[in-house]
Amino acid sequence: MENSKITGAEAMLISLQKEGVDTIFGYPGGTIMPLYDKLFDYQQQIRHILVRHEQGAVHAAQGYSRATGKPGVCFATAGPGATNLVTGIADAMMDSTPLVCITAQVGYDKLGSNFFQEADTISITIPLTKWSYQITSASEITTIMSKAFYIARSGRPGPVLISFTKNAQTELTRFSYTPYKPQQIKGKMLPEIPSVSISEAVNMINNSLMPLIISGQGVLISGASDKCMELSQKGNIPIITTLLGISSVPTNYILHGGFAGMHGSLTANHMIQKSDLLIAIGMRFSDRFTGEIPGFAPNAKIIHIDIDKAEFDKCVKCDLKLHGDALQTIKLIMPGIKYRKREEWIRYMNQVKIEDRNMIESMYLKEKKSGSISMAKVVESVAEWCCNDSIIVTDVGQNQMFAARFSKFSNPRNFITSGGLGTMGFGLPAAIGAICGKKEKDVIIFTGDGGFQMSIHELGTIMKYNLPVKIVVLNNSFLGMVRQWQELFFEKRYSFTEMDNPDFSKIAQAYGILSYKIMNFNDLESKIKEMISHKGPILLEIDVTKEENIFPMVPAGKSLDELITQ
Amino acid sequence: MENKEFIVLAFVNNQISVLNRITSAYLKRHINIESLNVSESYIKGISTVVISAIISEETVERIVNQLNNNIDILNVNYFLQDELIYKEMALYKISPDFIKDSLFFNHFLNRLNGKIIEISNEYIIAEKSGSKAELDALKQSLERKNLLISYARSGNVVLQREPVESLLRKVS
Ligand SMILES: Cc1ncc(C[n+]2csc(CCOP(=O)(O)OP(=O)(O)O)c2C)c(N)n1
Repeated sequence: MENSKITGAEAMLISLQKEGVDTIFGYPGGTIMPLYDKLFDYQQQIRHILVRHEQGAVHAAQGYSRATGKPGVCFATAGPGATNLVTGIADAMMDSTPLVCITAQVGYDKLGSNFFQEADTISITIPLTKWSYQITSASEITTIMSKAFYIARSGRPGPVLISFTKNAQTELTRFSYTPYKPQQIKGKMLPEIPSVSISEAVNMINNSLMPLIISGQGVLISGASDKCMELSQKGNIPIITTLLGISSVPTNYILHGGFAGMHGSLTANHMIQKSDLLIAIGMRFSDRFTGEIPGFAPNAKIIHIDIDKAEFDKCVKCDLKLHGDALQTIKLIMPGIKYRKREEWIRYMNQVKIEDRNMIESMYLKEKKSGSISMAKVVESVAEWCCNDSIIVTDVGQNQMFAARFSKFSNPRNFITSGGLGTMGFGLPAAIGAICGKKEKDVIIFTGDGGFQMSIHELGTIMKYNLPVKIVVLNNSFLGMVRQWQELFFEKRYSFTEMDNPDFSKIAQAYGILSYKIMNFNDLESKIKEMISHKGPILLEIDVTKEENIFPMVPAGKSLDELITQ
Repeated sequence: MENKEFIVLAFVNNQISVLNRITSAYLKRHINIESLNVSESYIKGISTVVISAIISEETVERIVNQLNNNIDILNVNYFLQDELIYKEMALYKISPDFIKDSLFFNHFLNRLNGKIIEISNEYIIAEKSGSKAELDALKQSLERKNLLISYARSGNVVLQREPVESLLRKVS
C-alpha cells in the first residue's frame, strides 16, 4: 500500500509534466529543498534553468511564455525568493502573460510565527495575480495544479501563484490526475455574441470610408494574426498595432501603418486621428496608446472586441462592444465584409507614410557629421541582416521604442517587451526565456546601459547553458528616456540620469561571451553581420549618440494631435 | 460624477483569501469601506459578501468589473440602498434611567420595535434592527438625553428582491 504513495514534491513534478511543462526557471533555497531534491531525479524529463536572481526566473518565464504561448513556470524559495518574483508577477498581470509561479512556504504548523524566511506571499501577491492558492497538504496538489494551469491559460491569461508549504512537499500522497473542468459559468464559457451585434459591426465596417483595425496583444494570444490580416485584405482596411500587438502583422504588409501611441509612428497616430471607425481587437486603450482621451480619435466610432468585459468603456467609450475571443469574433464578422476601394483613405495613408519615412531618414538614418551612431541605425541594420523570423526582445526606455519602431517582423510572437509595467531589467532574462522556448530561432535583445545593469548577472545563466542570445547594448551613458524627458520638459536639468559605466564588453568576456565594443559608425555593419552569423552567445556594446531623442512623441497629458517631432 | 453609497453584493466561494481579493479592489483605488459583512448564503459552500462605500457609479462599475473577473467570485453586482431589502442591527448599552423616561421607553418598545435583551443595575442592553438612518436616529435621541453608554452596529444584511431561482442560475 505505502509503496504506491509518492511525496508531494514528486506529485508536483509529475503534475507539471501532465500540464506539458518542459522548462522551469528557478532558484533553490532552504524551504524549497525537498522539491529541488526530487527535481534532481527528474532532470531528464524537465529542464531546469538555474538563473542568477529570482527576478530573472520570472522574467525568463515571461519571455518563454510570450515566445511559445505556453504558460511560463518558475520556482523560488520562501521569503526573499518569493518576494524577488513580485516585479515579474506584476508585469505579467499587466501584460496578460500566463505564468505559474511556485514559491515554497514554511510548514503549515509554522505559519504566522515569523519562522525563518516566512513572508506572507499570498497576501503580497493578491493584487498582482489572476489567482493564487496555498497548498498545505500533499493531497491537494493535483487538483490545484490543474486548476492553476487552466486559470493561467484561459480567458484573458495571467499569472497564478502557488505557495507550497514545506510539509506538503514531504508528505506522502497517492497520485491521480484529472484535468480541471470549470464548474461555474464564470469567466470560462463566454456568452455568445448576439447576431444583431455582429451584423451591426459588419454594417459599420462596410459603411465606413476610413476604417482602421487596431491589432492588440489579444490578437497574438488568441492566434488570430492571420484572420486579422484576412479581415484587412478582404475589406481593404488599413491596420495598425499597439506596442504589445507588434508582430501580429508583418511589417512590410502594404496596409500596415506601424504601431501607435506615445512613441508610435507618425503614420499610425495620424491615422487614428483621421479615421471614422476604429476596429479595436484585443487591446485595452492604455493611456500610453491613447494620449489624452478627450482628443483621441475625434472623428471615429469605435468597435471594441475583447475577451475581458472589464475593459469595455474603461478608458474610452465605445459604440459597439463585442465580448469574445479575438479569433472567433473576427470569424463571425468576416463573411459580411465587403471590399471597398476607399481611395482617399489609402492615399492619405501612403502620404503620411512618406512623410514619416522622410522624417526618419533625415533625423536618424543618415550618417551624422559627428560620426556618432543613432540607435535607429543600429536597429535598422540588425533588421536588415537578421533572419526575418528572429525574436526581438527589448528592455525599457529609448532602446525599447527604437527597437519597436525599426525592427521588422514577418511572424507573430516575435516581439517581446514589457508594456504595461515598463520594467527595466526585463530584457535580458526575457531573452533567455525566449531562446529556451524557441531554440530554432535567433533571439536578439536590445537593451540600454541602465536596464542591462539591472539584470547583468543573468550573463551567468547565458554562460552556464551556452544560450546563443545576441545582446545589443545601446550605450548612451544616460538613463536615456528619462534624460529625454528632462531635456524636453524639465529644462535640461539632468538630475541623476548620467551613468558612469563599466566596460560592458570586458564584463561579457569575463563570462566567456564573445563581445565587441563599437565606437565607430563604419564598424557597425560588419560587426552586426558577425553577430547574426555567430552560433553562440555574443554581445555588442555600441556607443550610441549620447543625447538622442525618440520622435515623434506624444507628451504626457497631450492628445495624439499634439505629437512633437523635434 | 456624484458620490453615493453603493452596495456591492457578491456571491463567493467560501475560501481563504477571497475577502482579501475583494477588499484589495477598494484599497487599490484608495476607497474607504463603510460597512462590510460576510456570511454564509443559502447555498452550501457559497458566502455572501456585502460591502458599502461612498463612491461614484463609474468607480463602483470598475470595481464590480474587476471582481467579476475573479475566479472565486461567482456573481457580483452593485446596488443603491433602496434597490435592496437592506437592514442593519445595533446594540445599545443604555443607562438604567432609560426606564424612568416612560414616554421614550414606550416609544422605543412599541413604535421603534426595539427589544430589551439584558437588564442590570448598571445598564440596559437594547437591540434594534432597521436602516442605517433609523439606527442613527435612535442613537442620537439617546445621546441627547445623556442615556447612551455604548453602541455597536452590525454590517449590512441584504436580500435581493429577485426570485431565488434566477440567483441560483447565476451561481451554479
Ligand atoms: C525598474 C525601473 N526603474 C525605473 C524606471 C524608469 N525608467 C524608464 S526608462 C528609464 C531609462 C532607461 O535607461 P537605459 O536603460 O539606459 O535605456 P535608454 O533609455 O537609454 O535606452 C528609466 C530609469 C523603469 N521603467 N523601471
